[in-house]
Amino acid sequence: MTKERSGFLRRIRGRMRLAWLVATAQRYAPHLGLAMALAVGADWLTPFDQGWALAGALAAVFVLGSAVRASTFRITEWDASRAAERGLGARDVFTTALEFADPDEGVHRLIQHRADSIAAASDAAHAIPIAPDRRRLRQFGMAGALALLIGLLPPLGSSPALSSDLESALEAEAEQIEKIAEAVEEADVATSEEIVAELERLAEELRQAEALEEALQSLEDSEKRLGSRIDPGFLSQKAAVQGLARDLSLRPLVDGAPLDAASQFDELAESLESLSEPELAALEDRLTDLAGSQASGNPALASQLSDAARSLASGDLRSAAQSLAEAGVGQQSGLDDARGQQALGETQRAVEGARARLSGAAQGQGQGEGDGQGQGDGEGQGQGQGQGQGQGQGQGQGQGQGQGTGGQPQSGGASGQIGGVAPGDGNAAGRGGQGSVSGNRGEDHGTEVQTANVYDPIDEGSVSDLVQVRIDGGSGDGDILGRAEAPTARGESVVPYAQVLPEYFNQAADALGQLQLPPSMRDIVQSYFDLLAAEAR
Amino acid sequence: MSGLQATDLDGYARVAEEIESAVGRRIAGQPGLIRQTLVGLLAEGHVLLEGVPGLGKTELVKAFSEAIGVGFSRVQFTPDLMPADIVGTQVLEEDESGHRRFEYRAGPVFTNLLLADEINRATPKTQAALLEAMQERQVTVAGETRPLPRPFLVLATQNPIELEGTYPLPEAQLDRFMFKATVNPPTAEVLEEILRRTTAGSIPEVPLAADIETIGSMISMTPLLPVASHLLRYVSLIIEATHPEGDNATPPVKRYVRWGASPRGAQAIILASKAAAMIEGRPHVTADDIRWAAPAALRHRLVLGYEATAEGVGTDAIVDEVLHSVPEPRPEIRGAP
Repeated sequence: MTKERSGFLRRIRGRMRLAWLVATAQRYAPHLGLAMALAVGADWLTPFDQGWALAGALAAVFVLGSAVRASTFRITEWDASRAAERGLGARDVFTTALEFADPDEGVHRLIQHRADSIAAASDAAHAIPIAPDRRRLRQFGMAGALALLIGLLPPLGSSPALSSDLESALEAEAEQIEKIAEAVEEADVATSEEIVAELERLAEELRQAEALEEALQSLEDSEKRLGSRIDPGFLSQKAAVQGLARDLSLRPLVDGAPLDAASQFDELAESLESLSEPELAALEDRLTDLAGSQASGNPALASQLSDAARSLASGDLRSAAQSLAEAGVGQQSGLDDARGQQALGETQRAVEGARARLSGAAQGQGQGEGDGQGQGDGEGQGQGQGQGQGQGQGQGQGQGQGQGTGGQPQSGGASGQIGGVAPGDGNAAGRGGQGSVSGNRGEDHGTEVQTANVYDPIDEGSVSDLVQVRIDGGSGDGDILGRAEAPTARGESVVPYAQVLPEYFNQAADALGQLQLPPSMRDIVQSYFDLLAAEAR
Repeated sequence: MSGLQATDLDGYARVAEEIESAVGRRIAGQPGLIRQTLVGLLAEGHVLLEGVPGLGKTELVKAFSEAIGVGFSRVQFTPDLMPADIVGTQVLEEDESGHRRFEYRAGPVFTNLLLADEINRATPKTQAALLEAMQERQVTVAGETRPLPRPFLVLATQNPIELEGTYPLPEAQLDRFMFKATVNPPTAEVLEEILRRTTAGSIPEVPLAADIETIGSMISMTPLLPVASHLLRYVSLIIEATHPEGDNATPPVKRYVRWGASPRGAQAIILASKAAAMIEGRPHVTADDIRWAAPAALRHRLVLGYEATAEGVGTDAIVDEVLHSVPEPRPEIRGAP
């Protein structure tokens, strides 16, 4: 074989490798495209965040593997010769020349010469054409387009992407929750550790939330978890220990420098021996009263105080001192528990507030597309009822009703008067009734009918203080849809009931702690607030 | 070892072209038939011509004999034709001195070109006598073997439409013909040319295109042309594909063919391909030569079943199907031509 023909066949081999690579790529391109689409599609169906990476890896493996294979597979001389003669239409001359190469044979020499001549005059690229397979390339393009289309779709079942505003709101809430966690940690109450863990977890969940619903669910779950850790008898316990502390601060058991309740019990335990009989008797009575005040809220402390009183009555000062010492410990423990429970409750309320804010933000965001030019009717209605009983013979009763309408969303008005007759002397305590304002935003797209209940706090009232009505769920930060001069005493917009309940709890607990109510009545009050708390949850 | 030169091949190709041209002066519109006959001559294979009477089969043989300057005989086969009428016989002769002795009188087979007209009208015994001579290229009479001259080519004709009183050649005898050429009726244009040539009071003369020595050299050189192994494989696969029980048999072959081609059919294809290469001045055989030779070499070697007869399927259609179903050897590499 001449150098020319040998070189020609070498070029033919290289060309065949390229042709193999192209043909293989084209042959399997539709399959590859389909596999890539499946990878992306699987990621779309059940997100694992690796769909495109997997598709890219498939393509890379395919290309790399094909290239390696193309450069390494064996091409025999016969293969190259046969491919060349078929590509050139040289009619079996190269393969025959390969087989019949005896220089002594005239026919063989003729064949060799013929093969060499053709090789010298031919181009390897012409012999091994590389043609695009349009059908397969089109299929690959379609599969690739499908993959791209699937990739551009949001994952199946996912919520729409968070808006930047909502994302900022979530971040703000997460930061706020972290601040609360820091404050709780600094407070170092009994429940600090678990609260901090809960809040840190919540903040993390808020930051990682991919949808508002997910964030709201995290908040709700956290709220429930915190609520489940709150002792149902917490309020009565708090009332008991705080009342005891307040009582002992007003009327100390021991003279001298002001001491907290626990220290007073300790001090008293050590100084029992020095007390006179009358003092011991007075102490016995006092301890008995204190035990009674603790019976419902802090039964253990009540029991210890009762034991101390009984020991004093029997003259067993040692036992009395021991019971008093235990009472000191119990009082301190009760205070610590109450603080811990208090922290849990406050944290729960903070979480609840965060949830309410996010819910409102979501509604505001959802309605933010309205053009704000709607026209609607506002209607306010207020009812007031006053009833008073004066000294002497006077009795009075007042009743009023007001109603107003407004044509503009921002200026709906309602007015009314309380008409009442209160003969006789006395203070007629009038109570503003409930007013309601409803506004229809008319063509304000995306806005629902806004309704809010308004009530006026108890006040001595006569007529028509301005009532400001705030509608939750309005656009943006909430709209004021109307003002109504309600037939009530001074009124203001009212925070949701659930938000004020904890404060009322505290107030009630403080009141109970002042020991101005008999223990049986305290239980009634306690039960009342427990019921309200359950409903509020 | 052969000392064939390029100039020799070119010369042979030129001679072949001149022979075809010369015969073509007498035989109008049958270049394929002329080529097949020339291939049969060079490959020393015999040709069975099938066609209705009056298509110029006798003229073809005559024209060839004139073009290459060799002897020509024509035997009209009839039922009473005896083997001795073909191969010759011993006759008792008396010389001048009155002595009687048997002397061999050669039959018409002792010629270069023999036209066995309507061979299927003779009895099988007579047919066998001719076919033995065709195969052995010699005749044995009264214990004495006499070689036939070279070149020796038998062109036998069969009338496909008058089958009454005929003795169709058995498959084993048919196998001895290298080619079966179908002589088709001329088209209107060809017929016009035939009329022009044959009704003007004289028939066109056929010039001498080659001497017998040159023909002999070409015949000797033909089997020496090499055939690449992949082409031998190609032919083997083609033959295998004609066998209905073979692994490569196509559904039509399985349905219509009862017996496939014999190894003699493969030999005929190869030899005919070599002759075709020689005629074109090419020192080697190509797949194109094989595809060209296969139909004529196989059509009389396939035995079709009743389904083929009932459905009007001929051997040509089966051979075409086989040639389409058997791929030409090629590199098993994706993307390669």
